[in-house]
Amino acid sequence: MGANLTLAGGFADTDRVRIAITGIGGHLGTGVALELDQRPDVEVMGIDIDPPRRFLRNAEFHRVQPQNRRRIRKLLREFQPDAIIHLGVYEPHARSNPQASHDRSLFVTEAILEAAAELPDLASIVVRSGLEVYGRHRNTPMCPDESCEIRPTTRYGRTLAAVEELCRDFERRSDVPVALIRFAPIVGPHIPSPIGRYLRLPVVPVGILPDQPFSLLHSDDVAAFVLAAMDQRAAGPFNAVATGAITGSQAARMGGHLPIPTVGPGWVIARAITGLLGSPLPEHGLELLTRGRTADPTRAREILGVEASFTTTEVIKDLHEWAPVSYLEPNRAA
Amino acid sequence: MNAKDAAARIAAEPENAKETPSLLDGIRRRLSGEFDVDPWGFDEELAQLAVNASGVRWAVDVIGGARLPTKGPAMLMVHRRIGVSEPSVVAKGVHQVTGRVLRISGLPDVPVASSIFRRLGGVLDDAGEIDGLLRAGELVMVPMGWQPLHASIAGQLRSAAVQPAIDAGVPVLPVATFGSEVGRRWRIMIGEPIQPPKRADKIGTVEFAEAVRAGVQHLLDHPR
Repeated sequence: MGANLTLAGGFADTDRVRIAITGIGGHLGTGVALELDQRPDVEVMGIDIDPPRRFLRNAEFHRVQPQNRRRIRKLLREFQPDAIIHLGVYEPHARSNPQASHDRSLFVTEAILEAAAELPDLASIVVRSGLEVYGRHRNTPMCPDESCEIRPTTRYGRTLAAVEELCRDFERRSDVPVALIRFAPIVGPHIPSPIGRYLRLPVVPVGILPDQPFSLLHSDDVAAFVLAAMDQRAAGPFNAVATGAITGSQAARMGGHLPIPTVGPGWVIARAITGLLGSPLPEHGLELLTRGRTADPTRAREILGVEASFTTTEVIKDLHEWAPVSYLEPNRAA
Repeated sequence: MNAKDAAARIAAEPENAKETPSLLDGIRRRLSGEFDVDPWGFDEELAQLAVNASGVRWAVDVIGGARLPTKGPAMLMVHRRIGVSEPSVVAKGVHQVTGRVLRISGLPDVPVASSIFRRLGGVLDDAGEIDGLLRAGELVMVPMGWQPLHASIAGQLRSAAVQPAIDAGVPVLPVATFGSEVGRRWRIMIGEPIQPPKRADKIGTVEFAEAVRAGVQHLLDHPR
């Protein structure tokens, strides 16, 4: 099994390497597919609820509803992938509302794992997870590594923990390695991310000062982690985090925005207002601002050999350098 | 001075300016958010300021300061009586000798206080937290059990407290403190670094913890 994937990351075999991507319609899925487009002898099949955001030469796309498990299984069985990149894990308030993101993530995960049991060529599964799985209970380490316990404290964290649990179950009864990439909040100029949107508000409610630090990951760095894990058939969890950390008030000030320290019930009002301004703050976003969220990137560096190219501060700078929306005068002459 | 020297001096000037930032420049950077906070919430600039300011309250003599590493990770196992002054005193002493700022374990995780003390180097008394700091090459101070009545007897030491040093393969330095809570003059003694055992079984851990405690007791028995 899995003769097509080689350890070095080259795909030297005669056959074309077939890679299935879930969540290809999102920024991350499209980004990974674009990278794979550069490789020779790679065939990509993607499924999602939205079409990809860019033109892809070597990819075929199927628009599938996550609850349509039979169709997902059928597509995977027909495609016979060598690797599955599972980015169809949806963050609340990124592209889906909180309830939909939970349901969609679990539906797609269950569907691909059911299908994966019947795929003889499958050599690697790479799954999107997030630092939210660690949770931020009192007296838990600020900067956890992969050996730390998983005790999610937010809805997104629980979704990710459920996804990871399904994957671990699958790994126990098959010999396909499953890599769980725990991404720090992914932020970039063009990715729909709740925390990125939030930090670009003119007035930013933040935790009471001095506020706690968090780390991010630039959207351009995501593909490197995913592809390294796939090429090396890595198994187990990996934190994917940019070096360094920043606090909410620093991030707001660096963009010239006004941070407003907020406590307790003040958050109810703050969240209502930012929601009206088009930037709803999900539960895990609130936790990030008030309790901090960082993690140790050592394991990914040592085993996958990947490091984020942007530091957390550079991610924030890049976010703020993005030009604001400019409205053009409509042409009334005609 | 010829023109070339002058040009060289002008070229060198921005660098010098960077090394000694003016107060105004410092305040401007604080307001614009351009200062560093590490993943544990530590703000080195602020902590350096606080350590220097602690000289108003404490004067510290350091004996055996040459044993402190000037770079790289180490764990400092510190004897304490009541434990109010000791963290500041040891941090001040270590800073005098090496210029490094200590990370001090034992922070309570309560809303405002925890983030204030994290800025100054406080961290939770948690193996996961100390593991990460040692991997990042920091000096971490771990206090022993408090000993308010018997100043010359080393306090309790749980073997779990030295586990991060074994996991990271980092030496532990025993540190004895001499002084009184209301006094200004304090003395700290730093002992020979104790290397962790290669094999980390349960007995090895207990023996290592015992060796560290004996190291602290030895310093207390032979004050200089």
